[in-house]
Amino acid sequence: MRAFLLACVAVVVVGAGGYYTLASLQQPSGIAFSTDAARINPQWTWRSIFGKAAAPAQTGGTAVPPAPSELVEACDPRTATQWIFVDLGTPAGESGLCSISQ
Amino acid sequence: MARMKFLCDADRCIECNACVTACKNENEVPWGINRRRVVTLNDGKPGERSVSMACMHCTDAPCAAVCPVQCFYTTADAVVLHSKDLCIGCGYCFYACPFGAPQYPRLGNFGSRGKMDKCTFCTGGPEPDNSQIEFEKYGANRLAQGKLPMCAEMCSTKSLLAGDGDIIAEIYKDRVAKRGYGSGAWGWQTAYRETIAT
Amino acid sequence: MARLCARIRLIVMAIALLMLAAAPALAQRMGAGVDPNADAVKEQQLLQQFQRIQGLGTIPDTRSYVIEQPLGRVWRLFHEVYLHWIGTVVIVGMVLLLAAYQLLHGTVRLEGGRSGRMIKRFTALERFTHWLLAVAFIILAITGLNITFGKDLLLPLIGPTAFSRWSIMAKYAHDFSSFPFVLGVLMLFVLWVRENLPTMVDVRWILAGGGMIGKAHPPAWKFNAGQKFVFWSVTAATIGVTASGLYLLFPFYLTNIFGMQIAQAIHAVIAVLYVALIIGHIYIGTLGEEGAFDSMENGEVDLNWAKQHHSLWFEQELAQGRSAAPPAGAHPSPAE
Repeated sequence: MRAFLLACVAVVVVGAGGYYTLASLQQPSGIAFSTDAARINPQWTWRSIFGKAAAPAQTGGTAVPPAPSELVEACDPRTATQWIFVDLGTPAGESGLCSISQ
Repeated sequence: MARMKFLCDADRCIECNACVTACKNENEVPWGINRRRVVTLNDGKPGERSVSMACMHCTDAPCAAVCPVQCFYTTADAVVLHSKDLCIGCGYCFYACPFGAPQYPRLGNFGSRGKMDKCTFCTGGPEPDNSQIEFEKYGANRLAQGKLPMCAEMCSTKSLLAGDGDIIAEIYKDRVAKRGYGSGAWGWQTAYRETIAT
Repeated sequence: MARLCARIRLIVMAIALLMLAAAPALAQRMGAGVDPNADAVKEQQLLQQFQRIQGLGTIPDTRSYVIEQPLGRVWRLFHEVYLHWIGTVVIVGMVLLLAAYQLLHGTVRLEGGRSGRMIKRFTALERFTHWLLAVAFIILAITGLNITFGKDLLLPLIGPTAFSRWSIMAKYAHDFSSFPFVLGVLMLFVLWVRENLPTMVDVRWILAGGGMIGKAHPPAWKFNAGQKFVFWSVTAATIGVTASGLYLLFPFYLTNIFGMQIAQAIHAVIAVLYVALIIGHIYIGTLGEEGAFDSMENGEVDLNWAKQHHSLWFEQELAQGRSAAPPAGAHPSPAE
């Protein structure tokens, strides 16, 4: 009887172990079937740059909105991992504008 | 009642991928899911040919037959759709599909490959027509608005035809008669068990 | 200079005239009826050659480069028609066969009844391993059969939503029970392979009816020919379902669409045969033979059972002094 109960527990334990092993091998097709350059941060839009730049111009009056290239240069350089795994979110504190793909 | 079909005129397809882009845009198809694709045969060699392929909405659809939870259904327009709520992500519909239409969000089949996604002939799914939830799950429902699928509408050479099977067969026959050649309606024998006599 | 210009004008006019003359001929060649794609492949030609139309695409998913494989319809025929028939005939046939045997022959009784004295047959490890793979097999069998037969048997009863939820859980259970199952089979193979090697004793056992047909009690070692048959069938079937199951668990990692269809077919056919085999095994181990279940329940079997079914093993155990003492309070059996 004990052997049987132990076996039931073992089925669950080994099965769960298998689950976590295979989950680490799993790949979402969005990563597997897209190339690095195609993966831009979905948050990024031109509108978000011009929208933010335009707001102070309305209140300030004479301020010139910064060019998109200037905004990009304001970002810290990204590591290779960050470039590839764009989908996993931007690092803390970094604006979504910094994820322009090349 | 119209019987909806696709016809890709392989003599006109220039591999521009406008159909692919149109489908992706109209249905907000996520990365990695390729509802429509263009495949080139004999790439770079004389006799190169390109064909645009997505779900053909077959007669007696094999995907519907093998689904273990019977999540497929055929509309009155003979469009083959499925329910993502019932889908268990087993992957059998891909083995049965002669055209490789079903797409899955995950590569490994551990438990589930995720909810299957495929070309819907821009007809949406079982949710209410043109509702937000239908768009999020299945993409645009153009047919309910009386429009044809976006891929065929955007085809730059009008090689991809979509709509009433009889009408597009007539269009194709006229084309072949006028220009004097035609490689036939690719996939029609397998999908609809018929060919177009030219 | 003027003569040069005149000459040039003459030549240009000549060329122009030639081109004009040639124009209808050119138009004739490019006119209706000439197929610029005459060299290009045709659908039926490709299908006859390769059973599949495959080219080059531009997306990283290489499966998408196959645009037509009519064999998918053939696989559908196999899965929906042939497999249903094979599975039904094999499994229902086995159940009917066992029912007939039980009705006509009845349980194989212990001759002389229980003696009350027990002898150790299986260690705790052996029993644990057997139950590990047995529990996993039951889960695998039910969830696996659900994929093929669930929609015919269960879906009409509980409706599509409930059936879908059950099937999702079943698929997870199926994929992850396979790990303890393979582990159990491996362990049991290592534990029992030496005692399952076929010998002449097994041939004589089969020829004598194996205790199931007729009234003879042919001698046998620890495992008789029937058990050895189950052992080797389980080994072979497990290799089959595991290999094909790995292909199914990692679709298209190892092969293309045709390979996947074959893998699924192999997996399904071996699996239904396996289920029928185990139904027979379960019958024999429980209802079919009195005293057999004890061996897996607590590891000890009645002496009379050992003498009747595995006499050679029993003699060997006795010779090595491994007979158990009678249980406390029980009266000793008559003349040993």
